[in-house]
Amino acid sequence: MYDPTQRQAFMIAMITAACILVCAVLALGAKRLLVSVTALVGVSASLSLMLYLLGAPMLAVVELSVGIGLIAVLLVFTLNLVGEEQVERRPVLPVMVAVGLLLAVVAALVYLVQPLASSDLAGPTSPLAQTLWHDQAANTLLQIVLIFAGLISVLGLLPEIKERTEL
Amino acid sequence: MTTTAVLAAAVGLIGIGLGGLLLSRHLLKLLIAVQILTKGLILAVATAGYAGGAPALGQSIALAILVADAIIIAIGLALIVQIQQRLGTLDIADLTVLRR
Repeated sequence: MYDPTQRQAFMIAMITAACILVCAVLALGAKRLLVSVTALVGVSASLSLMLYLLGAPMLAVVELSVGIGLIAVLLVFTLNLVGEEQVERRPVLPVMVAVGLLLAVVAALVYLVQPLASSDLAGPTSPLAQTLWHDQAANTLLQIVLIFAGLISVLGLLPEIKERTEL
Repeated sequence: MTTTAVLAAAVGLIGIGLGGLLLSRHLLKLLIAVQILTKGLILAVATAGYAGGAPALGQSIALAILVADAIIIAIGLALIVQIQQRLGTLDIADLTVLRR
């Protein structure tokens, strides 16, 4: 694994964090939905890099394949089906209420994660496979069931489109 | 030092995602906001695992969130296609069928 010095690691982490946040803002602020989807792909790619730097390469690979390989393709496919509808930008909720709520939540989050900021990220490591298939076996089985349930739900929701396109 | 950057990214993603959920009216944008929110949660859970001395546990929970998120987006997109075909709009302010 790549092993940079502490200063290099800090610089890379800061640049990656900045990339993630810029792409996230662009994903929600862009007028065109295709730009939003592309920016979301940027968030996924930057997040994968950050997870790799954090020492979670397996999670980084899964995030990369799911975030870019699956979700982006699904979003573009849906965009192709529904088209780029322009929606009025004025929010349903009053802006002052939304911003106040948002600031309160972010302040609470910063207060909660502050003790973690001083902690060292290098802890004792146990193999992910051991945790995933033994300690968290019920969780993993539940995920498998969820994947099948999700697949069946999507297949149940889509037949009508197929019928309409055949007509 | 790196922890600060990772946590800043996690809190920023959660904040941006929540802001998108509160301020957006387009259904697809709402799903994108949920995606961003979830990515922040994944980062936060993975970091908490490392900080708590159980990185594998944090990663496995993050993986579970990732799987649930992929299912949410798949079902959400299928519902969006159905809504667009039945009601002809993706503006949440116009989706008032349930109110009647």
